[in-house]
Amino acid sequence: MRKLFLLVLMLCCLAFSAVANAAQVTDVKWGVDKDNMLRFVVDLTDAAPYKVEVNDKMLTVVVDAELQDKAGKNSKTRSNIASMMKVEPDGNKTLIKIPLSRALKADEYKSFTLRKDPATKRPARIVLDITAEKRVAPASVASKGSTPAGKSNATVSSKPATSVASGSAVVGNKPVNNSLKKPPGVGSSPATVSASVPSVSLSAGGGTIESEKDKKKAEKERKKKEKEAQKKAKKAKKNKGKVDANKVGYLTSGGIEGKIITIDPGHGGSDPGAVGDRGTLEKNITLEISKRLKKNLEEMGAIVYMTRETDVEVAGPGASDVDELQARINVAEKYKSDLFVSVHINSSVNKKVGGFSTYYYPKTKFDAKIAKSIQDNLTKNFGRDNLGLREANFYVIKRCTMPATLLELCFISNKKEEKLMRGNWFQTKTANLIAEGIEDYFK
Amino acid sequence: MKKILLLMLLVFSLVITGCSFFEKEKPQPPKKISFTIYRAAADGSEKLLAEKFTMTDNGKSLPENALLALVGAKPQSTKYEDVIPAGTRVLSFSITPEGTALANFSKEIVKSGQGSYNEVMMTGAIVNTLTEFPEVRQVQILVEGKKIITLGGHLDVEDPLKRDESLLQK
Repeated sequence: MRKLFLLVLMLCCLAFSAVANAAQVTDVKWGVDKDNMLRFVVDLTDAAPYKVEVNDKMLTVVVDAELQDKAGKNSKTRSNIASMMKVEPDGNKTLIKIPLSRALKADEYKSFTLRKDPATKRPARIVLDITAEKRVAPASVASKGSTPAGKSNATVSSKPATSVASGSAVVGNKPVNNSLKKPPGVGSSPATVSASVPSVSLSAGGGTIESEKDKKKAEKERKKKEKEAQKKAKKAKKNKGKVDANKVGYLTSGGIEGKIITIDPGHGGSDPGAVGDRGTLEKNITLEISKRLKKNLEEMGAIVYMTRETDVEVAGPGASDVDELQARINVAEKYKSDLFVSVHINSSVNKKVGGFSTYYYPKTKFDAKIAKSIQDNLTKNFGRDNLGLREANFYVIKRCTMPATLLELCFISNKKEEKLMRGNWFQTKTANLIAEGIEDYFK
Repeated sequence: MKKILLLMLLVFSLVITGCSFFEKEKPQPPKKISFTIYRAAADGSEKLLAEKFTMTDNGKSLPENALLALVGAKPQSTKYEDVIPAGTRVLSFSITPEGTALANFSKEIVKSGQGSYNEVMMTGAIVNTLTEFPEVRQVQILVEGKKIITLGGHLDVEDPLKRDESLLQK
């Protein structure tokens, strides 16, 4: 009997080790991000060794893992450095061959691995980024709020993305920081605006100014407004971090100045959220819009906290879905926020679906009020029907104590909207409209 | 051990023959049943549309058949969209005396990396389909027999869900 047991144990061990060795390639994806960086992602059942070989105009990734039958896809993408890739088995290995339009320098590509994440059900991955054709943002201002707003050409962060990622979850295709430096209503850099003006109607505020006199007057007013906004933002920042231990409950009126607002950029880190056809990741768009929203609210005098300010998981890597959601609420509770705003991008298998939805959970009478205030402002200015105000039991807005709303700002699965949301114009405009909606709510 | 096996086999065969024997005695014309299920509108209007479903009576309750049809049957028209993840099965279904339907799904229904639209439409379709029947007041979603907090990382489905009329096409 004992012998039998030992034999079974041995067999089990053998079987286990055999499985552990047999990593398989389940999928190879590639795409170009908005800065024209070409990215390959190899999905694996388990971590596997790999190497990247560059031989004149041929880039080959050799992965020490077998190719699963269904993964073998050769596909095309819109990149000017490579127009096709071939995935083929080579014994127990998998070769990914990418013919290049020109030879690559060592600092024009980088690769790193991402661990398997059971919490988000993401597989082990090998990521290869080709930054050769990556565009660098023309003149983006350093993101520190202390930069005077008027000098939009102050610091130029034109650092090319040559640093090699060190296997961390921070993914390199985060949009280059081109955060808004002008107050709402004033046209931001025309280059980025014109590129993505869609078929929706523009709001007031972007009206054309005709005469030179008017121009000067508007400029004066703009500067005055900027100064005021800076003052408010400064004051708000001074108050930041001081949590009033005696504070009970939340404030809902009396103006936005001094109100504590927590913004929650949806997803992050190993959880990209929804992914668009062009490779747009929800987590990047939500962060960009949230950053702009934060700045706007601070200029209105609010004290603003973010659940995350970079591309990370709020609860740390490997946390469960639920821990991650709870961690976001915890930020709002910790600072005794008056309002919690969760920013998301929607997605659907139905590629036709589009538009804004604003969700609330009716735990207080103010949840519907804030949701309506933001949704009204969004739909009014984007010229859409107000169909999107909805009640739903989202975890983050249901389980926090203060009034909360969750915004689904268009669909990443909708081709037109995906293109739109990648642009500065959309990100800035939605942030402005949300801020105005919040300002109205606190009136 | 062998004896038990034999006994089981005997009982099993008895049950089978017993059933067929009973059926032969009372031949019944196949009875048709029909009910309404709710599916997401394919036009992207974020609404649920009623789909009429007719089938042969299989002895199961109407709510259970409705749930099975919603999860297992393909939409009968292109104006409906199937928002339940592929491979999802109904493992069990029952209704408590208090009117809570316990809908127990296989693990395929848990799927991250999607937008909340799918989660909203999916839970909405399940809950509105089941609460269409007067005996169901609310719906408790279970996965592999257990309560789950979230199916896709957005909605909180730990507690029983109530009908959401706002999702229905007026």
